[in-house]
Amino acid sequence: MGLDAASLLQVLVWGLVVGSIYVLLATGLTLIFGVMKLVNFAHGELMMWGAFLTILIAQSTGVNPYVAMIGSTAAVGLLGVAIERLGFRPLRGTAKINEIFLSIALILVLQNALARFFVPYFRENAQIRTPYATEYFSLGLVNLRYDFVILLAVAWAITFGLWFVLFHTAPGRDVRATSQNRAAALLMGIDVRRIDMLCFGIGSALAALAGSLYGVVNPFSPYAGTIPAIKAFAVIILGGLGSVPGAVLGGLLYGVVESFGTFFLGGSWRDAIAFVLLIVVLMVRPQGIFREGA
Amino acid sequence: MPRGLDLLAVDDLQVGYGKIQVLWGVSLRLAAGETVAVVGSNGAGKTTLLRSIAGLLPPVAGRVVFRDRVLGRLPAHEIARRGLALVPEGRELFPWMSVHENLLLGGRLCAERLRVAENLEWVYGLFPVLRERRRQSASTLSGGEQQMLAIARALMSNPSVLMLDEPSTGLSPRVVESIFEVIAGLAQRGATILLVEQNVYLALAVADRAYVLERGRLTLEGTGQELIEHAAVRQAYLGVAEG
Amino acid sequence: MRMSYTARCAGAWVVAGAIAGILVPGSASAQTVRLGLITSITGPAAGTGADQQRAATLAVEELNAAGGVTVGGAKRKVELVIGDDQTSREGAVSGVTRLIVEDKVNVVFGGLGSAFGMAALPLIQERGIPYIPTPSTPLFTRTKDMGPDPTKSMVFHYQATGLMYGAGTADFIAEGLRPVFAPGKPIRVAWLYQDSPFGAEYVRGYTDRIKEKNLPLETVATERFKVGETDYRAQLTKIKALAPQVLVPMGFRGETVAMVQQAVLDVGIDPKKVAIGPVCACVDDPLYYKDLGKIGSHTTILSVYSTYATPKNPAFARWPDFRASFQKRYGVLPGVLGVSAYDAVHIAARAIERAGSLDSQRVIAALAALPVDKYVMPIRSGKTLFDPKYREVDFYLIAQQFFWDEKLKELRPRVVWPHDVADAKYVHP
Repeated sequence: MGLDAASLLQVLVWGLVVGSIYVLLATGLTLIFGVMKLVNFAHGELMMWGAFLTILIAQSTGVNPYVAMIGSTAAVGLLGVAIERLGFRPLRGTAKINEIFLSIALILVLQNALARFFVPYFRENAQIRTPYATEYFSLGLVNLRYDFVILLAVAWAITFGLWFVLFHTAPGRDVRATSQNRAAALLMGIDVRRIDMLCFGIGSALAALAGSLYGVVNPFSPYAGTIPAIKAFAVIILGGLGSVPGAVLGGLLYGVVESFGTFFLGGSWRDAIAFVLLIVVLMVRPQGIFREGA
Repeated sequence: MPRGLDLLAVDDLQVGYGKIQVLWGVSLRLAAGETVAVVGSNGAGKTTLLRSIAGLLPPVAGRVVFRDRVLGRLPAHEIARRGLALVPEGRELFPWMSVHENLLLGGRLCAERLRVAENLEWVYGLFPVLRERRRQSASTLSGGEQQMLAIARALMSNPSVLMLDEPSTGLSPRVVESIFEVIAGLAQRGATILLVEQNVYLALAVADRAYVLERGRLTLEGTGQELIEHAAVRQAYLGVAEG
Repeated sequence: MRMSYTARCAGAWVVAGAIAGILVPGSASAQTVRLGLITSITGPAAGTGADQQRAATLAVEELNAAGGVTVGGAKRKVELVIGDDQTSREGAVSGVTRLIVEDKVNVVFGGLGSAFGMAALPLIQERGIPYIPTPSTPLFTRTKDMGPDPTKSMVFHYQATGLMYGAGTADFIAEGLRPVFAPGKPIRVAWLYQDSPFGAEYVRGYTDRIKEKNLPLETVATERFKVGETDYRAQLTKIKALAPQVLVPMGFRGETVAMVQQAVLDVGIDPKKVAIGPVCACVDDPLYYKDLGKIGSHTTILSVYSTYATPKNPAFARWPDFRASFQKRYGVLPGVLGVSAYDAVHIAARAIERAGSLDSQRVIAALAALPVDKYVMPIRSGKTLFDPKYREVDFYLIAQQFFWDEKLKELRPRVVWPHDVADAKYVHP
């Protein structure tokens, strides 16, 4: 009952879609953690800012939302650089708890600032409308809306691009070096403060892109980023803190398990699945699937 | 680099960790082409000295002059860019990168690709086992291999001054011997080396001059030979009883 | 004339007392009737909270324009005090606390989130203040088993409950949809509902009604989603595979819009084969029409108040005028929660007048005895406004179908059920 191939394939596709969003979120989060050893608690808020800026740009200029995403992603990336430079860098070297406080404070600031602009215009939530809303792509047993195909293409292109830069270019090597051994990176002549800014910026940009893509296929609000961000944390713990390959595999795994879990167990389980999965993996392999380090 | 010119001059360096002061006014000189050793027992402050010179630890007072430039509060990466390479205690490799990638990172300051390729050939020549293991990740190497990799990595940037922090730590005598052979070879070919070591024999054997560091203060200075024959040194470090 | 020493002392006391009566804070409440609206001014539900605030303000302005409320012979002005539940339980508790303790309101009313209103209930019970809540859960006046709860005797529930909506849904599907989609056979119904007390009550009303009237409805799926969910695709995929003839998406406005859009666009549920709706009355709001878009064509809604339509029946007679005066005052149309808040103000005022006093016990007794009258919300029947057993109101529920208006570029409804108030027939897409 309901176990026909078309349904299962459909559910798998939804899992890959939501998993791709988790991949973008988790990759950004793990990059920040790996390099700065810092948990960015406001990741979900940056995600929603990305969605909001995209819909703002798209609605006020009439430009295609996917083009607007370029602008919003870049803007949030720059915001991330500013946050690192003005917020976290001055705290470096002081007690770790200061960073935690700042990170939590950012949640409140970013969330409420967004609500200020968002609520009077959109009320509870909004969704990014694209010109492709009713166009479909046939995958044999299932028909997929263009927007989902674009989402998957963009998410994976970016993920692949990031992987390539990290593992096959010199600047990428510098980033990995900083995340694996900060003192040694300094001795190699790497300006680790620049790397911090860069990585916080890239991490923020990835969150914003995740938010924009999310906002095309889901309704979003200033508060909608909280749960996906928490799941992203679970993903990076699962995948190994600081490991980008771990974030990629973990994110996909999460999305697919969540989708099938909801299908078989019911909608009330959707979020619980994320944490049950985390607990199971941590019991079996506490260091995560991949060990620490990009 | 003409011999005899001071490449590194440390004047009255005072360094601490928070409220605890470790170095109480250390002064030393390192001329081009010299190999200078700093010996002393555990806790004397040898590692603190090197880390401070390298810029990883800001001094409380005193100054370091490297290639005629006062280092002041230059960050470590700037100091490295100026040609001062440190092989740290504990090696500080990039554990999940391969030997090859670790070396490439060492060579990242080289302006030309060609230079990097040449240097790679050179260090693989010095440490053939690294060439064998070049695709292996650094954390899977043995202690001796890791030390070799750390030294090779530092050499990749053609540093003006090479600083080594206790290269013999935790290694078997045979491995230590081969490593010191390489160091001696580098010294002979005119490298400028500052070597910090707990193994006094080895250090004094390879050094032109040496200092003794005790509880944050330099107590003795002289050529390697002079110090080997010095009574206090013999008693404290060489395990030779007097009388 | 010289006053005696005693007279001057007495006079001094009188003057002092008069001054104290003016200067001492809180004594102002002796002069006005204070009605406390507890709703979501901040937080995710702030948009709908604003609707209640506007409607209540309008009602209070109307009362004061007519001179105020007569309390035991004297006309008193009505003052509206706003409490913010911040769309949270904690906010509701602190908001109601403030209303009762600091602002010393005579009646508490309003609200949109059932959980938040319920969170503040113990406070109300403790103080015995008359309470007219407007969220939907029947638990305001009932026990967990849906029986009458004597400890809640100060609560008068002015809103259609989930039980009523569920029952209305069953009735509409049996009478309105089955003849079109499954004549002569049991009709296959799939639910996708909110995993919350509200959702559970709704479904319970539906299943109880089926049993009670032996209706030919076959429930093939009861999928759930957590409150605030945005991704319904897995559940919808499962439902699609079960080939229902009716899909009932039950949730708040944002949830419902997403459910309908995802069902039709993403999962490919064909509105020609599957009737989508009736959706919950709580979404009947101008924004729903705007957000849903053309996709919502031919879907249905079960309403107790319609944003745009006016059924032909005396119970709905006040709708056009009310909409007009609301729109004139605010430039926007009211939603169902605004309308219930508006009525609650007038109900409180009438009860106070009948009680002739602001004393809680007297007002409560007056509320219990209040007769049915011409309120904006459509009331079907009853000797008293609030039934004696559950202190709920027998509201008139209607079903509307949406059609795309090409000129307005928005959906507009037509009333299709019950047959005695319908102005159109249900149209198969």
